Amino acid sequence: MSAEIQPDEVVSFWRHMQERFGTTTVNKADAVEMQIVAGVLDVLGILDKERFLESFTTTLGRKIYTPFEVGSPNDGWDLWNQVVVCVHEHQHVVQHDREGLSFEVSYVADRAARARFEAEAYRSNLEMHFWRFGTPMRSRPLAELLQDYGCRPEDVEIAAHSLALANVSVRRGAVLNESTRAALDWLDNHAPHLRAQQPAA
Amino acid sequence: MVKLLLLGLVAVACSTACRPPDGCVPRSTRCLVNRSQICDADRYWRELSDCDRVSAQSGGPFACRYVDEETEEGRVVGHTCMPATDAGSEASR
Repeated sequence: MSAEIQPDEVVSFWRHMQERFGTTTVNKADAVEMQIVAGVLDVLGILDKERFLESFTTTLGRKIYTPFEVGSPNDGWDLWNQVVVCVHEHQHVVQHDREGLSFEVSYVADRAARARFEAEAYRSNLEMHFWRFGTPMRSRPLAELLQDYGCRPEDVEIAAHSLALANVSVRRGAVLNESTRAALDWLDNHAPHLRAQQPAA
Repeated sequence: MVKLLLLGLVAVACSTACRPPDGCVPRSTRCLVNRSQICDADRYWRELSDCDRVSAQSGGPFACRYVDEETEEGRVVGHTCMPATDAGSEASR
């Protein structure tokens, strides 16, 4: 097991990703717009308000709303999880840049599209886990998180299959997501001690 | 202005939702040029990965390939980006 990540490393990492992608971070609890979104999701019966505010990091455009203070671990958001979610959310920024307005519209209106966008961002979770621990992360539990996003069971199955295939590529050295590439560029240079020991050739 | 915005939203929504399904079998995969695709639950082909971009990001050539592997989570069968040097041992389908 490689060394623990330090709070100042997490802060520097987030700063790197924000500069690379032109994003800003907002504390979710302080954001009026997130309170409104939480209320709407609660009324629609999609997601409990408190759960949305405390358990989910959310990206709108280039703003990332976090339920934690970057660099300060709290329940459910240890320091490594803060790194991983940073990469995941920045892949949503990549999607926003790549797809334009159709990303936001499809994400809200189309459950299959929502599952597809989230599955793509979850590939970053797989990639970061492999870099850090040297073993593939189980992909099925990630796909099942999509049940919380109002996705249909058949969408979850497609996501699970796509993530299983992604894992096959990742263990062969593929970097699938742009946000992961940006993350690994920083980590390889500034925190190489966090990387899993490479097997001897 | 509002009408234009709404028209734009409808146009964006229709760009996918109003297109007839491709008719593929959900969960099936394929390679199209050097991109892997998966058939979604609504029977549309959707891109999984552009293997040319993966090559640029991974420091070596990757190609879209058919894989059939036993993993910790069970058997994984389908198309994905694999190192191009594996091409000899795993035929593309």
